[in-house]
Amino acid sequence: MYALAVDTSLPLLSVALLSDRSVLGTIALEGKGSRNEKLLPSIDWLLTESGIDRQAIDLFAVTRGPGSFTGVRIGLATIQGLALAIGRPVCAMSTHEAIALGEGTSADHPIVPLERILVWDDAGRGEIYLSFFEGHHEIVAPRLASVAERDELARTAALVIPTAEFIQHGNVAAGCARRAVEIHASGEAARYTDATPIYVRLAEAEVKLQRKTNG
Amino acid sequence: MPSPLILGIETSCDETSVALLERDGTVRVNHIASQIERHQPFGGVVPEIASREHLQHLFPLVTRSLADAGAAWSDIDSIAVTSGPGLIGALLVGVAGAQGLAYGLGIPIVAVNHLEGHIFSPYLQTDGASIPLPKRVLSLVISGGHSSIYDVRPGDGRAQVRMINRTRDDAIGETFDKVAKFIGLPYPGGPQIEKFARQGQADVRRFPFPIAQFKDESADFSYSGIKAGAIRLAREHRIHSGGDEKAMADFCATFQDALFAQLFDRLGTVWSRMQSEREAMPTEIAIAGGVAANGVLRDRILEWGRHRGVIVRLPEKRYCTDNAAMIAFAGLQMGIPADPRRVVARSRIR
Repeated sequence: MYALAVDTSLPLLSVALLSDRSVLGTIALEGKGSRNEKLLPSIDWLLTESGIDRQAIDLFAVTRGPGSFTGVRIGLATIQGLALAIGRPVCAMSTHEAIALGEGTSADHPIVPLERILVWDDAGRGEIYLSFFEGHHEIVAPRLASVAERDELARTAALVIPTAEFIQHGNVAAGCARRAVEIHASGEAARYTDATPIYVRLAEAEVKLQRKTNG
Repeated sequence: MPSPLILGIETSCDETSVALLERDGTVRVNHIASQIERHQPFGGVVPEIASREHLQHLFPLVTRSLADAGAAWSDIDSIAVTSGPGLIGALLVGVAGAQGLAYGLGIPIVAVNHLEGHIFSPYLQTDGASIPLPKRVLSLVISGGHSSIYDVRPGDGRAQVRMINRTRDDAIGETFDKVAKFIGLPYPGGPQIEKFARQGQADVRRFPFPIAQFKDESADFSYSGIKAGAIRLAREHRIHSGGDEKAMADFCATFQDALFAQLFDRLGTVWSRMQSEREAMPTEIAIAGGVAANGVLRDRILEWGRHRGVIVRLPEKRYCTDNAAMIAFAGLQMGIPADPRRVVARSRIR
């Protein structure tokens, strides 16, 4: 089974191609401001150099954010288009899930701890996006938090992963692909068909309008 | 063997649209998901909200379009997508979606300039093939975002489009909308102004509007003077929705006349300059864009054409506002199918 995954929600865009659980290739590329011009060439390069025909891909995986609004939309639109044209399913997950659970695990060889994992990202304006995982499942979906709250919550976690550090040594798309293969093998695929972005935040204009109507 | 289809995708502003056309310009489907209501509380289009809505609607519309046309993926041989100008975040949704689809299907993409979409829209019909294009046509694109005249030379999928003039400030449709808003009429203001104007009499002595002229004899449009004048006159004469209906109707009629007077003034200038050149004159004149739906303008331009022995092409009202049928059709006229990996969205073009 071939799986192709992309992440365009974070400053480094990433693409990964897997054959079952083995990585055939990955790409990570600075993509801020030009993700759309780099994504499809990256996908194409990876497929061509791996000698895999796009028609042979069995599963597409993609991150839904939180992260760059525009970036998330580019990844989701490209992958949904590809999957629709080729007639294969999309497995869409939060960017944090790809990071926290993407190392893969099995009951015999837990690679990631089953205890609590906290993933966080800088949301700008002094705020944080964070989510929690435990027992290899998401227990708190991505939400906004203050820096103080993050620090307090971090004490309750066995592992704390800042996305900005993770992308320096890990490939988010590879995690996304591994997790997607695992999800499909475990029969949980139906829970991962929602391909809408996880924005967490409303559009700025909506926030202003709410403030105005609430006085 | 049925005709191969071109898939059109338009997401440059606040309407998500998907269409399927045959090679002869027959529109098989043209679906539009309008976001007008979503943006109404904000009094204008909010780019981030528009982008969010586009992604939500794009693929359901693509799937529905195929089903409604009774078409299979294998019937599609190219994709035309608006690559600019427009809201960059909004454009990127359509472009990325089109790229994914085209790459997956192994077919080329035609990146279409939104304005070229409007330019060819008067030749689309509800039923059947498009109207044959002449060798040369003078095209007016008049909408909420644009007021320009183009010299267009269609030709076997390699059309040449040259911009002759543009607006130096506000677009004509924008002027309609802003003045309508000031006098308390709902968005979009153009149809509202037209409705009141039909009940009134133009009165230039009571409502004197200027026609902007440039010292450099440029044929460019400028609508900011008329806008400022309209707002001043409306304030002076207490023109407001719910007030004196007769005054309101007369004001709208005079204001609308002033907007169109400048349009015909520039059109006349452009036309006589063309006559002094040695080339064969355009045999047709076409209007396009949201303002081309205005009934008063449609009548007047038909009259203008009759006087000069020029065929006038008016777009069907469904093709005046943003739609993907015109994008797919422009894709057929402009040609240049490209590698889907190399399409770039641009908020501004030229």
